[in-house]
Amino acid sequence: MVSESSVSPNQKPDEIFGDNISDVGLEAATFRGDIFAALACLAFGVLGYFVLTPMFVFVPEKFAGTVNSPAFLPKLLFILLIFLSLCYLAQGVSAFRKYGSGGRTRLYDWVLAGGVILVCISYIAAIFLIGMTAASVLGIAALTYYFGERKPVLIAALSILIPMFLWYFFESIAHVFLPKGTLFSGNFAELPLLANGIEKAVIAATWVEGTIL
Amino acid sequence: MIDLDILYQSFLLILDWKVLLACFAGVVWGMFVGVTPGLTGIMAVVIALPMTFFMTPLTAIALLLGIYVTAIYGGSVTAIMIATPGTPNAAATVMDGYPLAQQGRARQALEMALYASFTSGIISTLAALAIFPIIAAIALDFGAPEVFAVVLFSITIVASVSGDSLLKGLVAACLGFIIAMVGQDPIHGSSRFTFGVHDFQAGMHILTLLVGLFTIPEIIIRGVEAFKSKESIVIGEMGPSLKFREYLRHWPIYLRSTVIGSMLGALPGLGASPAAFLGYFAAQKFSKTPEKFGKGSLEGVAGAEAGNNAVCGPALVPMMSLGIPGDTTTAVLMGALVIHGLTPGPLLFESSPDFVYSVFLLLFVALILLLFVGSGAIRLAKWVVRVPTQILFPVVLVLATYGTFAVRGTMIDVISMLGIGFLGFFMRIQKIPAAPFAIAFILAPLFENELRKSLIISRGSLDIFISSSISVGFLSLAILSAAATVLFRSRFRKFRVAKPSNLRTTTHSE
Repeated sequence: MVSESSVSPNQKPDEIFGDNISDVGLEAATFRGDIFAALACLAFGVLGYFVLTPMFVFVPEKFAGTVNSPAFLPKLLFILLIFLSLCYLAQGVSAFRKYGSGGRTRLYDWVLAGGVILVCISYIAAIFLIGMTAASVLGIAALTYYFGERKPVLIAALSILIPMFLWYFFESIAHVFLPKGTLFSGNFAELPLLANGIEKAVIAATWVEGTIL
Repeated sequence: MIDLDILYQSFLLILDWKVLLACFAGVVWGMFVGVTPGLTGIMAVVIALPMTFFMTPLTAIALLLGIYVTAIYGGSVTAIMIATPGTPNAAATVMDGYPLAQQGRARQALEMALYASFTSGIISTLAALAIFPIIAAIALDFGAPEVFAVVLFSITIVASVSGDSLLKGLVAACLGFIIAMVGQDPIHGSSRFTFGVHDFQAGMHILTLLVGLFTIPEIIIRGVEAFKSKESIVIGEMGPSLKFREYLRHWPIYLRSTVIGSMLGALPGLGASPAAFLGYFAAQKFSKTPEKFGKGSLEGVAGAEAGNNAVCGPALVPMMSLGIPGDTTTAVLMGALVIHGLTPGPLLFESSPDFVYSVFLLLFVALILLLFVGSGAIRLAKWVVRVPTQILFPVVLVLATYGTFAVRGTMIDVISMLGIGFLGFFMRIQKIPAAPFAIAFILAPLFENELRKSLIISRGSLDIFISSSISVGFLSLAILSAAATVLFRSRFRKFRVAKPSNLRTTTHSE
């Protein structure tokens, strides 16, 4: 891995990287990662140009094909993204051939980062169900514990006092009405919507798994 | 030119204790709102507006101006301390302010932001007061093609904030532009990439994007570090104060950013965010150490903060003289004047010249009060650096969520913030810079709007962009700036390859 290391211009790539692929931290970009990132951007560009723009940009018939069409700039941007992604891919592949993968991000770091992401997603999902204040109590407690704080009194005090203060400030002073959640608002009509959303997500995931993977 | 008699009378008017107290209250409230992510300057002004119904016009405008001036600076406190811009105007401050805080130089960054804001605010208000009619006349000459040329010039900043890889910066900028396309088309109102979600019709709010892009990746990365470390991680010390010598050394930056901020402030619709980025860009262009930008440079903080605060005074010029608000906050200020029976426009100066001068004098008062209140905020900020990461970042996540929700009261913003945050995290681990993404997102609506308006006016002919000397001037500047950046980058790279000692920290993208 080249990042954060002393490199002399006279050193050969093998001397810099060695034969073995070393494990690197989260913030150390790798050539392999560059290739994946370029491929992801390329896929997004192609999807955007051929699928998303025709399907999700409403173009009045009068302006179709003109520079004043609402689809003109999005199309131009997706073409630009495809071009830049190809350049990025070429750069990544060239570096990969020359220097090797540049290391591999430690699996342990990925798992830990995945844990934080999961807690964040759960926190946002909990807002829909139990409201912002109650979800924040759980969110602060869960994340503080996950980050390594083990004093129960401190965790309890933080996770209760901060959401209470925020609730008071936003509801009473700023007059921003925070979401109460399906369970506490009594609006159980939203529950089928939530289930419907989850069902759609499962269908989409199955489609992606079957078609692309 | 300034009528000194009227100026003196205006000065006596603002010496009323009620007016000064209202201004102080506005400054304190503006600071509180500025440091609270999600509460923007416009929100602060709107919340305070009903209170002004029972005040005299001058007391009311004193309160609102206090908020207006301070909220712009207040956003930089959280931007520097916890990488969360309190207001969109502080997005450029994050790039160097937060790295400085991580290096244990938070106090210097905060003080530089405060003094740069104060200095540029004073100079730009003086300029606005002195050349009030001239600025108004120049602002009138700016049509769609001229504003488009200014925006195009602003976009060339992308190259200079792209870090080590220009290609990655361009990819990030392209993605930022694409995300900005979500919502209604600005000319026809057609839906674009809303996927049937009603809340997407208004597009993604700028604060949603900024909080997601800068805050969520930091929470994930610091969370992983905190988990792996068995001991409490404290961000660092506040560090030493900014020396007066260091403050003086950055005078050219304050002046450059003030000129940029004043110009953009006088133009309707541009606002403080582009001014901050352009100020930052100019500071980097003329810096002797441009490689330090993005890694913790006081010059970067000075450029950005001087740029955004220089907007305040000149933004009032088109509002007061022509009845055209420069941005949304000045639109609310204009509404406040109308509520109090004053009609902004060419007649205001003739009918109430003492009031017009009083408004500008109140800006000076607000800026002086900002110095004191800002210093107090810096003293309070020392508590933030003492809070361990394990506690700080869960609280930051909750603050970011509340802040994002509060902007428009919709959960789709919170979900978008998280989505952008995850994208920002993957961009960060692959060293794809976030700044070009943010700049492109901020400038994209202006870029598209002015481009298409120009083309409609010219019936599709590109000649409109070379029909006025202003647009030709800015287009030339844009070309020169892009060429200079590319040349500078290639020379700088050669320099680094030639000197092995400079290769100590090298990334593969070079």
